[in-house]
Amino acid sequence: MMAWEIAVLMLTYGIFLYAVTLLTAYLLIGVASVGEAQKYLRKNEFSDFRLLATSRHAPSISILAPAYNEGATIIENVRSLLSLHYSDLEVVIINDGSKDDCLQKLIDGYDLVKIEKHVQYRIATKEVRGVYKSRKAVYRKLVVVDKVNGGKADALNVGINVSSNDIIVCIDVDCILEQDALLKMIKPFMEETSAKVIASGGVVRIANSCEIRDGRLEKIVLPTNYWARMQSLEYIRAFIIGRMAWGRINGLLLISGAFGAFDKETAVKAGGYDHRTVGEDMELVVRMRRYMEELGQPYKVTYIPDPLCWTEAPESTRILGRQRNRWTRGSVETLKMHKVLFFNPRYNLMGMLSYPFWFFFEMLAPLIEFFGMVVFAVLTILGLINWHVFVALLLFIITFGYLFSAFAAYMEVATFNMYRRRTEMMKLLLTALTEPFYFHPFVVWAAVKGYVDLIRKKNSWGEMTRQGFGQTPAKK
Amino acid sequence: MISNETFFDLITPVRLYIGALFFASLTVIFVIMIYIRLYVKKRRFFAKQAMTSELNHWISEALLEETPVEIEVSPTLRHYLRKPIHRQYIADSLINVRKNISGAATGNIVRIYEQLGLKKDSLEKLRSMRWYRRSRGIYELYMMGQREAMDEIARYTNSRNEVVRNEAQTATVGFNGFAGLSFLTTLTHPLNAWQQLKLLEQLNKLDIEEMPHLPQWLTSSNAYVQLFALKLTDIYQQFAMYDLVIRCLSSPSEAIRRQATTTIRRITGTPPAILKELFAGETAANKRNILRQFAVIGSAEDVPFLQAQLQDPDDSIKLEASRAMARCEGWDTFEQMAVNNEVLTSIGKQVKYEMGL
Amino acid sequence: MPKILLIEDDALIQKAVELKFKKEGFEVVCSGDGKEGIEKLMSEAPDVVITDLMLPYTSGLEVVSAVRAITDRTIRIVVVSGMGQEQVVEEAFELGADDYITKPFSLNELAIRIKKQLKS
Repeated sequence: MMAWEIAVLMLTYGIFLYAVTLLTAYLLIGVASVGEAQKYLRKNEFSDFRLLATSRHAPSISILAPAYNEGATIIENVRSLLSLHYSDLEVVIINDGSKDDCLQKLIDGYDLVKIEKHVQYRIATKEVRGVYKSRKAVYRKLVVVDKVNGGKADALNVGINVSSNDIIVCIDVDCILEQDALLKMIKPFMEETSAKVIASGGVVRIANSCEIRDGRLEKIVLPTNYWARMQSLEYIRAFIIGRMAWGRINGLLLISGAFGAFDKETAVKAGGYDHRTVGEDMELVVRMRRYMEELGQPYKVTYIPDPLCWTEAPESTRILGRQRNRWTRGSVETLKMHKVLFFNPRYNLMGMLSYPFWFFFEMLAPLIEFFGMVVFAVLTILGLINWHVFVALLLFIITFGYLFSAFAAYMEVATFNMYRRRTEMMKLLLTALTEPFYFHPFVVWAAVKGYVDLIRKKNSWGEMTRQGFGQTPAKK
Repeated sequence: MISNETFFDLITPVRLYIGALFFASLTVIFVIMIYIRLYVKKRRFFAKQAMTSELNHWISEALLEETPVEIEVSPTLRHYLRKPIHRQYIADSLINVRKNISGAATGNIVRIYEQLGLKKDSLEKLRSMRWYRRSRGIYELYMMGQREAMDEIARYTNSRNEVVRNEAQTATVGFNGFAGLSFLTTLTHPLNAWQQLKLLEQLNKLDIEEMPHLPQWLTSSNAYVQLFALKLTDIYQQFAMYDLVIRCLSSPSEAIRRQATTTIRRITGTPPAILKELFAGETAANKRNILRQFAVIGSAEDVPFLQAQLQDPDDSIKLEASRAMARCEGWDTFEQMAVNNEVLTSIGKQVKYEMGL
Repeated sequence: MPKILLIEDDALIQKAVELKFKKEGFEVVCSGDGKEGIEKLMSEAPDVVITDLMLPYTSGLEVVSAVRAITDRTIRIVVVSGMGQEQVVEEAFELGADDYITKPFSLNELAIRIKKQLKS
């Protein structure tokens, strides 16, 4: 046998083995999610969450929402945060040195005055210029912090330093929260008895095309834009199936930056958000977990499957590409910073399962796929492809992908059922058919570009251009 | 060395095609299931809608009757009553009324519940072996004030299943008020914070009664019971428990020590010396909590102790100490300390602002 | 005939209260959320507003302050609170509520309180 033949053989084996492991993992994840989702629904079917909203025995919470140049929508966004059901709540808006009139709008809109407040920089951050509160009693929950620009992680750290409560809920200021969101999010902190809950993650859903009025979701509609619709399916798969299963075995490494709750003391002790990475949300969870593991204390990262947070997804390939590019860099950076975890039995499940899974199947997947495509192209040119095997293998993998999407869609319908119309479901399923040929290659390409940028040390933010919900005209 | 042949033996195209076909068929099955689910959900939704307005009107009418009356069931409602899913919906609507409306009028709601045979459903659920049915049954019976099921329900207050256990505890307290708390004496399982909150809110509606077992709970080997008992002592100001609460201050559990600190303030006028002794060894959160109690019951005598805490590296502790000093006639001392001290000056400004000075 | 604006998000409870007051000889206008409630406040000019404190989107507290912002004290406000809402009730009073009732409440008691408010 010639050397290249052995190489091709090894490669085929390698890729096949990788694919089989991946498929098995997904099957296990799928199965694990079913029981967990069912248990959650049954347990909370007749829970009176509202009790928590006003009870004086409920834990006090601080919401932290960084705002950067959000002047166009800030008044409405804050208004919707203030209308959340929770009495013992502090809504901390961190103006991260916006260049627009964001702060002035808040001052005028909510009748704010600068107050005397001592800030200890327990986590080192950029300077705080001032803390504001409203003169009006109705807005007593609102705290606005003005600070020198330093990026999202830095703004969240300022929020942590300024906040006065023990549980912090970090959100994107422009996402839309259900009014019961906090109640559902806080309950697991109160329910766990065997371990300390250090963080709780929520579901993020896609709000594109939904009817939104005054910062409130009026009607849920499947996105009409192809890219947004594809992301809807992607999010359903990730949140209903993936995180549900990881939550079940307490192996979650990522809590979405758009909506997550944390035990403040643990977050501070672990060092707060790291502004050196673009994946600060994932990095914090990994670091907090690591901190608890090293301390040797039992802890838990929980997960709430209710659709509580809705956000605008990128609708153009340009912005989507940049987002995925950033995600890739974020996870590579995070995993690199914590490489000591890799198959390290000292870190239990996180070291032996969560980290390796992320490493092989989230971080490396786009690279491996891309590499596979390159090899395929080379082999085709050299005329070395066994087309028969190739077509069969491709079909095998594609149909598995379809199966997983159909299963996710079924789980969605069986649990929260956000898209009720038959035509919507049909559209979603038809969109899923195009995934392997259009959406998926694009996402892989964006991720590969992330690697390229990482190598080039290009650490730019990949700014998200948002349309702002206020401008989206509500359809009749 | 594995040869090319054996490899292709393993994954022959035919096998892959079979695999793909298998996946594809499963996909189709899921798609069919999606549409069946959607169809069923839609039908249920419309049935509910059709039922709701009539049901609401009917229930509201029943609520207006002050005296027990025989309530007529319309043929449409009779029709809906045949399906378990609709029966559940009607039961839920009745429970909802009980949650929101009290008084003599709700007697008729319970009558409807019994008359429609929904009580039988609840009892069946109670006797089910599945935890989610059993807990639901307990909930329904309790919400509908079915006292005769009380003994049966009380058996589950120490159930191994958390949800069943919690519902049973809620029910016994709902039926018997403070006396219903007696399950605490024998509870061996955890009582989580959410359940504690639920029980406290339930008791909140009632007039206070004797809790003869309170000393037992305060010394319970179940830390959750101890914690809950401390909360009861706090809320209902059980002054006689002073010594037992003091003992809890040296518990190994951080949460118990914290609650004991809060509780002690409610049942005494002067901070016990032991708080100062324990202070140095406490966690930051507990330190802050101790200082908060001094702000309420401290006096000029405690100023030296509070002053010492201004040296703590954690500013949140300095802040609490300053607040306490402001309320213990120690503000002059504080201001002397704050001279040439940037941090304390800044904290001082905040405290003054908070106190409206 | 005195007019009541009832703001309550639970359809069944809304219906029950509505029927009760109609029977007592009131005119009743209902709204399911705070925002719509505030709109109806303008168009309907009620004598009494009964509002739940926990409402979708706009809180009951905002309703109270809206009522006080657009009218003098002639419109009476009775707030309905859940159990354990002492703090919120206090705030409601600060903002100008006249009376409160706690869930679960008796329909008769609510009627008595409303009548008392209309007399004063």
